[in-house]
Amino acid sequence: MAHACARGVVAPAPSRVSPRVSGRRVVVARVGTSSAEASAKEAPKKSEAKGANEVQFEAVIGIETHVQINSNTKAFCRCAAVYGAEPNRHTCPVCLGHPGTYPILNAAVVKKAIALGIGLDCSVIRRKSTFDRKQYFYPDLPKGYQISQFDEPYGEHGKLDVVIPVEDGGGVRTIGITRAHIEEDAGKLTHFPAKGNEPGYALADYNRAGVALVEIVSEPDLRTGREVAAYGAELRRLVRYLDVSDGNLSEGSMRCDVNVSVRPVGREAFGTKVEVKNMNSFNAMSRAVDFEIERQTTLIRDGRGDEIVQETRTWDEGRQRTVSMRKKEGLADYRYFPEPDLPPLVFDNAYVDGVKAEMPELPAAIRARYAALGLPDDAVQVLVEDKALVEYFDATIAAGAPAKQAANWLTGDIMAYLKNAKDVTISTMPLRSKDLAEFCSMIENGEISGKIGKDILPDLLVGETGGAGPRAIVEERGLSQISDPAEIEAIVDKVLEENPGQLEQYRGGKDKLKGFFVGKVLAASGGRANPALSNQILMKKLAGE
Amino acid sequence: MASSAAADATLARTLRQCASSLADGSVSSSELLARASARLARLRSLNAFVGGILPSAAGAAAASDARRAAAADGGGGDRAPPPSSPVDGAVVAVKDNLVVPGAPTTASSRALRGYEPPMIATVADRLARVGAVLLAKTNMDEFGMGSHGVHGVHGACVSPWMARGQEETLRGPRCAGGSSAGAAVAVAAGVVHASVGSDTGGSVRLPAAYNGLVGYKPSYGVVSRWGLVPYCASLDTVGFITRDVADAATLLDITQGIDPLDATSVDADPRTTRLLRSLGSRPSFHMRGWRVGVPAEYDACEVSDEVRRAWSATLRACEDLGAIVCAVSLPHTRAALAAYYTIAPAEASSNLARYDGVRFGFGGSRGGLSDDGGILSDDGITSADAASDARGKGFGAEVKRRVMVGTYALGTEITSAYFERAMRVRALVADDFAEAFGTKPRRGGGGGGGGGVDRRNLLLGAVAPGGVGAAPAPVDVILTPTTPTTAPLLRDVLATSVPRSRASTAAFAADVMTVPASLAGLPAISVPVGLGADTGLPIGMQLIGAARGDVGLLTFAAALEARVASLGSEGGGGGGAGGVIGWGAEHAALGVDDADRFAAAE
Repeated sequence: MAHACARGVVAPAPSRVSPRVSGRRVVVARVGTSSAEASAKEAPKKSEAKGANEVQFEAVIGIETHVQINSNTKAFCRCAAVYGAEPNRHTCPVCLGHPGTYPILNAAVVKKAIALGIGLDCSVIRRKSTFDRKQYFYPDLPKGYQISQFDEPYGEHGKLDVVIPVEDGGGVRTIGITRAHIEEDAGKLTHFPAKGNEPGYALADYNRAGVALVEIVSEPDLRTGREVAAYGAELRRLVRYLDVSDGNLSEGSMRCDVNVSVRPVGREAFGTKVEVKNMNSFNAMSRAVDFEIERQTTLIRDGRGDEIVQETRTWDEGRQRTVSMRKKEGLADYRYFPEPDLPPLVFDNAYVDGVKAEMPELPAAIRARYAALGLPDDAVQVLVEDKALVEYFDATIAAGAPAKQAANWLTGDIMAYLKNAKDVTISTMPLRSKDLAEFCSMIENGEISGKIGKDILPDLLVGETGGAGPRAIVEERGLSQISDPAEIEAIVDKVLEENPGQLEQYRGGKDKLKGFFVGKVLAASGGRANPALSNQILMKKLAGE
Repeated sequence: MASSAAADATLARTLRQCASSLADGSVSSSELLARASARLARLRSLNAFVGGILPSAAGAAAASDARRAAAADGGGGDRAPPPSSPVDGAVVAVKDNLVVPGAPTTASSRALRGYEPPMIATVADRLARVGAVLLAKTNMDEFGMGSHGVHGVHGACVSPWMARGQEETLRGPRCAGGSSAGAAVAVAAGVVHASVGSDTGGSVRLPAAYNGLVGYKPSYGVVSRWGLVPYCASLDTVGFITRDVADAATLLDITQGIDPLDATSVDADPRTTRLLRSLGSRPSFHMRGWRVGVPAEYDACEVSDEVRRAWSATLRACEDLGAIVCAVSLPHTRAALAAYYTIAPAEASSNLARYDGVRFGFGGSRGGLSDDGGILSDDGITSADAASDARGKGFGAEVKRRVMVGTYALGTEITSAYFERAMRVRALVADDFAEAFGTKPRRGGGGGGGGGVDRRNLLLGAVAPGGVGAAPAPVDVILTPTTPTTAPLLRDVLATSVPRSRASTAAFAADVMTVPASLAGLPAISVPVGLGADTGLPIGMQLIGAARGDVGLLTFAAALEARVASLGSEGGGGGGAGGVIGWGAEHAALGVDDADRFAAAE
């Protein structure tokens, strides 16, 4: 039964009842119901506070994620592993399970899987792991068994730092990773229901059969739908940084099965777990989980807790609810046994070190680095979301840009531009990082004002400057900031001279007219006057000094 | 132009003799193919072959003849002929669980009726590439499950051998042995020079012993399994049935070595070439200093008198060669059979899961699938029902029995009591052999619990006196009978096998001698040593070698074969082993003659 325990994600056997929730948390959010302790300590929410004795419930959630490895070929044969080809285009005797064919493990898959294991901070990366067969009959499974890893997954005891949404208190939580193992995907069935006299049927497409997957099983450390979505997003960020998967939920290259159970706060034993599948976005995951928590909690509150059964429910996006897919009463016995066709997967420390050496800097490390640069949290999140953005930003500051200034422009005007631009990405846009660095430095040094910066940025972004850099543009257009006090004084004098009425009113106590004069001075300078300096001189002159 | 008689005679000879007949022009490959085809047709009643002559055969024979003609023209043409191979132009049969394009591969199962494989088995490919003419597919027990060649959709295979004993009760067709039944009969009846079979628990050794032939199972992994329809993947090996040990070594030499298509394949042993050279010149009659182990545990009550006497005589023949015969202890031998009949069905239940009628396999009724991803169709038939139907109709009784047993043995609740326990026994069996061969890696510290297996949980098998604590000198080969008896009467076998006798495990006993080496992945070879004193039927002795010790095993087997041949020609007049054992060309010819008489009696 040790096996069954190892598989149980949310509700293992009663003998193993202590979930690891708090031990590794870096920042504990104490807002809302983001953790067991938080809920336990807090007073019941007002809307639910029907009485002092009202029992509070918390959800216990674990996630099994199937990440499709983006190797060129499948896990055990040389067929291309591509999405969206004509059905059964990429199949061969091996992935179709012809008798007399045998699997050969794809080395690229192993390398990517191990990178992912390292990225998940697995304290155990087995130097020798074995393959097993998981057996069940279904028409999408060509051999009648799936090659997987059961007793000896290649990776165990990892963790993932998840950025908790502000609504849940913000900060970072560490979610335990139980295990990571390599397995193969099944084919895809398309069902055609009966029409009139024509019986229903299904068509099988085995393009996906044999494509490599890494299954990542989390500890039951999650509590809310938003946390689940945040976990998924962080995992996707990781696989994309590592280039081990496309991490595309809608194409199925990343699939999250979420196990949800509910229990009264303070109880250690888990409730009955329900598996929720078929969410096509992190947003849908969040809503599906919250719906399921609410459904289970309501059933328990209504004294119908026995209606919660171990089952698989599917998320119905149209109706915004989970729907029972299949009950697990006659739980399939997968009859695992060692895969005789594959020798154990063995590699040495040098191999792991080599994989590690080739790995890029990962989101958690980048976040820490940016925080140390003094960047605000929201800018950090936006930057880290996209590896290309991080590379661009790093190149910009390497070229001498002040970090905050660069982060500000990148996550502000530049991201806004890219969002609407067609066929342009951060990596292909004409504004190169060294030009942005020059641009940011000029603002920082007061060579140009932020206003002028905002004015010339669109031209730099679309490349309508004929390759000229920011400084050249500024010089060519005569836009450099006026920082000579004498020059500014002259402008201020001229403005005061031209507006004697307003000056009189101001001196008569109408302070609000200060803004009018600031605007006039800026306009008279063509936006080039140094704002701080002109402000200082203007105030002096207004006061009649 | 050579006569058909010459071609017939050549067919009944070894690959090496065939090669010299082809070389001196006394026969052509095309003539051999024609005569083999005719003989195959004439001996249909032995049921050795399934399907017809392979479509590639004629072209292969013609190409072989053309190569020889070109070579005779002084290597004329701009293209140099490929290096001559000892099988170039020879006729070879292939067991029906090895895939060859252009013909169905059925593994004698209805589940694979009409299945035409899209590829070629590596072993067949490597033979064809050096000129072997692959004649036809041979009959077998369904998916290799059987020891007597009776469990197949094509019906029972019949040995050409007839009992030479006097008693009336001995008369009648004999069982060919299995599961490579047709592969053995094809050679014994003089249709082909050699056959490629497969051996999971004794499937080439057993029919070879029953039919007076050499049956060689290489170490696990030495010959690629690519294209071998799996039965028990962790035990399955490609094996060869030949007329002599040198031919077995020849086939090994051609087909061995790592295959990028089989992850369990291992590198070729370069010593094979030297062995072949020495066998080609003159086999050594001297095996001075070689140690031959005799495991007392194999002296089970099932061993018949005539086989036991032949065993003793063979040991004396080994001493004649200068070898030292000594006792070895293989204490887990008895448990090996039970372990085998747990592990093999367990893996089989998995390997045979693919025959669900969806992509291939016997098409059952069409199953429906509901649109919500469930399996209920609108007409109430589920995909599981359809698979069940396809498998129910596709599999024979013995296969069903083993699939059921294997499925049960892997159940999560009981796997520790069955499959995992059997795997521990398997490790102990391998340990026993490693101890005997002195190949066990020595680990520091006492306790004796080497091999990572805890012996305390296992109360299996009797430990022979002196077997514990003693550290006898390691042996080079182990010698046992291949089978406890000579070939049984076909009618007796049929009477006790499923479905007629559902609970019978009697047939499993035939494998008791061969299964242990399979469990340990060791090379083993059955060599004919004589005709039984009581039945007059061939007796085979099994030699088992250390892991990957194929070359040493074949070296010793060739020497023993030569000694036994000389005893045969002494005609019982000689002392020592002579009179009890002895096997020469005239003995082998008896099988061919019997086949002709069998055909004539039809």
